[in-house]
Amino acid sequence: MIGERWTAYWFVLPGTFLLLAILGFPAIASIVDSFGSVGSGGFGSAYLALLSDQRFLTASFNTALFVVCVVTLHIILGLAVALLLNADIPFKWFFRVVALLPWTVPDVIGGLIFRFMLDPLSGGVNAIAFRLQLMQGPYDWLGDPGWAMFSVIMAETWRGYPYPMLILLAGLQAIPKEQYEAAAIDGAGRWAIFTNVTLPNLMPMVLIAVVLDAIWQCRLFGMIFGMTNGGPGDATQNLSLFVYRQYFQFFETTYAASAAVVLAAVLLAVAIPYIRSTLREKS
Amino acid sequence: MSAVTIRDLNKHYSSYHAIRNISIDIEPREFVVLVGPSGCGKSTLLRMIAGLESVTSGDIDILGRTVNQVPAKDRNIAMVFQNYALYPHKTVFENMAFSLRLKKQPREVIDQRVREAAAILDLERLLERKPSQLSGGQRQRVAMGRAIVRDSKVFLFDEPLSNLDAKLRVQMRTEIRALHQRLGCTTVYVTHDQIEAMTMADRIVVMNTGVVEQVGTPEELYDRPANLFVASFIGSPSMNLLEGEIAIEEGAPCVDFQGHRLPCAPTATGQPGTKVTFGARPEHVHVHTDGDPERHNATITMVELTGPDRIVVLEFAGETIVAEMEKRTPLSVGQRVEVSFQADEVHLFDTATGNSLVSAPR
Repeated sequence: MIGERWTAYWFVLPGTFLLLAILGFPAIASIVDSFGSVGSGGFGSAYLALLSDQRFLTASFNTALFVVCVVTLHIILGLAVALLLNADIPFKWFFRVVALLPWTVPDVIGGLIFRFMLDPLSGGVNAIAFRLQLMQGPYDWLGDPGWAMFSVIMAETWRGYPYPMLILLAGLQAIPKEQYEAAAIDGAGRWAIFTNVTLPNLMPMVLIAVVLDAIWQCRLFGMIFGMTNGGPGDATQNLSLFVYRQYFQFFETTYAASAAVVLAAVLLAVAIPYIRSTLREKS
Repeated sequence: MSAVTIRDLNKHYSSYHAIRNISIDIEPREFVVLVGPSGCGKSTLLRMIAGLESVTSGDIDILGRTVNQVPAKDRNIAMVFQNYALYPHKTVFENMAFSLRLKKQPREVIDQRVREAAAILDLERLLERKPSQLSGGQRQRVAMGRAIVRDSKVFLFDEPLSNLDAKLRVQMRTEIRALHQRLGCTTVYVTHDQIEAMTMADRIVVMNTGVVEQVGTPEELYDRPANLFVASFIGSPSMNLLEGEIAIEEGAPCVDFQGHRLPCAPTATGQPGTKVTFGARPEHVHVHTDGDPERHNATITMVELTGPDRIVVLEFAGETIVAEMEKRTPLSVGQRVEVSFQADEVHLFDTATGNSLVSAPR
């Protein structure tokens, strides 16, 4: 038995080594680097500088706003589509494939598609709005700070909703049919069945979907990079873009590392409830 | 007026004919068990009564009202499901109170009705627990409690004991039967377990491939099975069935089985030469060890002790038959013995149609 256990460790070793080399080393290097000095400051001065950096605070606010809006919309849209796809309809498999298509689009490509669609001169959105006489002339959606954030949120809502939708669909399919039948015999209408059977049974899956989606959206880069590159100004810049710019445009590695560590800490805080719940299930 | 009347009921799933022309009358306060093998349509029939499956043709009346188009909640029925179908996030109290809350009953009425049902089912201590904190038997009781608070006249049970262990199943059988008597309701109960059916039912409906094979009291079904299916399905161990043909011996009909002359019921009908199946319950296979040449030779191939009885498996003229013996007479594997049958205990079926050839009750 003891021999077998050690054999298992040998099998795990190559993967562990690769993970440490690819993820562990840069992570540790970044953490060490993040505590370096910035400007005339000493140990940990980068973190102090972050607190007074308006661009960092704006990026943090943008990230929070974006994540709250997108995750909320993902859950609402994902649940609505999951309920439709869970119904007994003809050609269900076809609709499932169609509903999944946005997820197959890489996020940078998704961002570029929306950028073209919202282009003030050649974009389809302006053309349709003009045809429908909703506007008098072209409008630069992505040039307006408010509309730019709204557009990015809508774009990511469309591109990313299939993931929570799949989680919720799996949850819906796991609800025993008899609970619906018992509720129907008890006298529950559609709304009462939804609130008393569907939603309570689905809540663990909603929690998982919210946590995983929130983690994903916190670190979203490609969609915003492709669509607005964080602009206009800093209107759509989130923490990932902030870190990217500090590293690769301004070469402020220590400063970027400290921002990256803050982002990682936030992600970890979001992930802890999920990890705890999965560990509890296993035990 | 019958509590439940089913007339010429049919159910089609596309080309599959699941329920075929079934007609049954269930009297008020009667405990009727629908029994049959998997896929025979018993659960489908129950679900049609409950309103969970649509009716293709025919009628279902509950308490004198045709309910084909009436939604499940308005049929005045309560149903207990195989896996209990409790709401996992609600407490025992809330599970039982749910239907009353939907009817917007006053809080005092809900409290009183739930506590009354809980007292009947000995659930008072468990009212604040969630279903996951209950044992299988307790969950089963909560499911019944949920049915009781609805104050329905017709109770439907869909294999409610299948998920319980053997000991608890026997206990719950008694409890359900006692509950039925206490509440004075009409019960339709589905099971694939013929022992459950025999021990609980006032009347049993034996189903097979969507048709009713026989309706009768447990005694009628056991003593006078209408056909080969019922004969083999009811009873454990199963009835011994031996294929032969009708012959005449000393002016009286008997069954010729591999040259052995086996007795016929005095009321059996059938022409000499007719292919028939001779049936004898295990307790009606009499095993002797006195070497009487008038009897039929057999060899013991297995002996099983079941407590007060013993099951003896014998090889008789190339066929395997089973005998059940009350006494612990010393028998051993390989021992040569003699078997005999009595005319008033055996059954006779037409092999071609499967129907019983015993024309009058014994």
